[in-house]
Amino acid sequence: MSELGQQLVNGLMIGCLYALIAVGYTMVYGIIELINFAFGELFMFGAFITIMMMVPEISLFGNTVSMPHLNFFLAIIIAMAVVGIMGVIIERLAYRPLRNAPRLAALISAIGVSILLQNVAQAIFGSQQVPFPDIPIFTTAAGAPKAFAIGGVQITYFQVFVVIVTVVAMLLLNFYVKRTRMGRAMRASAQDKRTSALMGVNVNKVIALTFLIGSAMGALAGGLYGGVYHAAWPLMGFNPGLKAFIAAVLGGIGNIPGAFLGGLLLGVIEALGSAYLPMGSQYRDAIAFVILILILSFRPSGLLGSTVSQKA
Amino acid sequence: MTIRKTLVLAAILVLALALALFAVAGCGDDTSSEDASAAPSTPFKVGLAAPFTGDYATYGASHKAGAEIAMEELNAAGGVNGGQVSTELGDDLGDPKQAVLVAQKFIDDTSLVFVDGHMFSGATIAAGAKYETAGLTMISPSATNPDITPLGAFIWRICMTDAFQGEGLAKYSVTTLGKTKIAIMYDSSDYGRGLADAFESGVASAGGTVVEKQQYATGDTDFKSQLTKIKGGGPDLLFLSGYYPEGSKIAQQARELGMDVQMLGSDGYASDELPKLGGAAVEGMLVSTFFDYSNSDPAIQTFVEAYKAANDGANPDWFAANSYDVIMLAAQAAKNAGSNDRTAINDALGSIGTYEGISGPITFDENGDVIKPLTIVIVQDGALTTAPQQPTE
Repeated sequence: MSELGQQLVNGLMIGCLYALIAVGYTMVYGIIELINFAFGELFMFGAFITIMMMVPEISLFGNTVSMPHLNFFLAIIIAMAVVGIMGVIIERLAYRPLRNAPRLAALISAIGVSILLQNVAQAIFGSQQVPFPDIPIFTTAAGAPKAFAIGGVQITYFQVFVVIVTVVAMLLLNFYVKRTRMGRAMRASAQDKRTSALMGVNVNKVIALTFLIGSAMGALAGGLYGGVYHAAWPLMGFNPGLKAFIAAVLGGIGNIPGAFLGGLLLGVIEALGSAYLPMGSQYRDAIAFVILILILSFRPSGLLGSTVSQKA
Repeated sequence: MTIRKTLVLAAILVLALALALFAVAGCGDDTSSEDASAAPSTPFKVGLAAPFTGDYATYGASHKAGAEIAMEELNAAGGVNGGQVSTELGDDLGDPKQAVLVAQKFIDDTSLVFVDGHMFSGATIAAGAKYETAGLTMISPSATNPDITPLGAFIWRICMTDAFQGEGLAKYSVTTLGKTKIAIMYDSSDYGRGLADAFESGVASAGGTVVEKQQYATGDTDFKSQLTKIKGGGPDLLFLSGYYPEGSKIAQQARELGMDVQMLGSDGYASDELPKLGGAAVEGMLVSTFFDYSNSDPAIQTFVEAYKAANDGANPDWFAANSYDVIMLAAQAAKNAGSNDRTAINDALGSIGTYEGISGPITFDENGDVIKPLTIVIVQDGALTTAPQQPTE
């Protein structure tokens, strides 16, 4: 029983990280119907920038450079800001010129940006894994993670922190999109860009803002992921990026609570599948792709997605 | 309909990308060959075969750096049989197809006396067949696949096979450390699996019990599902068969799950990157290695100092040490034969007895496989140092 409980905790933990990246996919898809494959790389930069801000010095382009040595919380906020701006720049340079082109062109542009960012990261940080510094308030003096146990289920303080951050971020985003003026402009642009523009909505600004928020969420996920797995490396975004895309589709792409639910479900299904299916740990990634195929075959609008009427 | 179409399109792309990723996860292989076909006072030219570019270039870099220390040391002492030592690079990318081309190039160069290399097993097997036919000696510093040395009389290696290491580590765990409830966590590559299987059967014959055996794929980051199962088995030793990037995360996640178990890592863990990435979580981990740079033996320390001076203070890994040993061993064989001739060197290798290398005493069995003691190091204060308990033979 405690083993099943532990596996559920393991799964929820990964699920939270998937959910944070999935929000980026889902918001951008909701508005411009583009799968931004570069989110995995923005996530990776989030982890690297968090590390850069936390350490006293780091090797960049093979040279040792002094760094600010900030605490984790400040570091991750800076990472969110920097990566958010990166997202806006990418939208401006790689996607906006293609907004009225066939959708496949933008998708290919997104893959191009993704490969470019991976190579840039390898040039800057090298291809080795970079260790993530211990976070003092979640670590004991001996360097062990602070943790507690409930009925044999081991939970670290950092895991609790990740769950709280994820839930708060989701609630805030949902409130922002549903209740504020800018959120209403977003939803209007999602339904019909041209009519929204006629009503006085600055569609370009709305899209830029969407990229800013989505990318910042990716950076937040990256910083937390780095903390959970104690490292960052240039290709780290590829796999979580694919998983988050699946989570977004599972929950209903374009739907923020759906991305949250999809992420959590995917994390738990993966953890339980790899624990209890025969040979499951070897096919962990395959489990996620099977889910993607099933959901596209039987419920392409996702768990929470409504069957949207066709856009013009 | 359009949403569905876009999603299906995106899904196909996602699957294609995933497939591409898995296809890239290939495996490298390393071999070394030696050729002796020169008369006294003819130069001693060594072919270095390894991946010098591409995904596995770091292995080739260690290989070359170790060989250069050997070359400088031999030349400072007047060369081999009066002949100047030089090296020729053959970049096999770790790929069997490329390895065959490198082999042909080396065979055709009649001034070349032997080959130090081919690091990965696949490349070694492919190239080894050519060297055997041509009568050019190759000595692999690192290819562990059992199918290599049966290729013939010109094919040698100075690293132990996975089966030999697995059995040795099992005996060490049960007999020397006295751990009887053992769990295994292994990388599902040929290397990780082969070693884990040999270890498992070794544990049984040494009188221990394997309570859990779990696997993962190279490149995975989350191991908690497997570790949770292992924790349920209540082992007193966890054997890790694989490489350090995953290993540091396994150790960290084990601690997050509240596990306090002695860990023993395979030779893939023997890197300074392990304590760098694993931090406090890998302190006290035992690691099997083919070269212990903290050993106070003067020959070892001379090599370590020379290596550090030439490589910005980096410690040599076992690939560098073995590449050094391969060249020194072949030079010794040439000196014994009194000739830098390809065949003479190969014959002299067969009668070399026990050669005292920096990676340990090297004795060949009738197949050209090496009989060598295991070395165990422990992670202490962020560095790898000789473990207090060593395997007893």
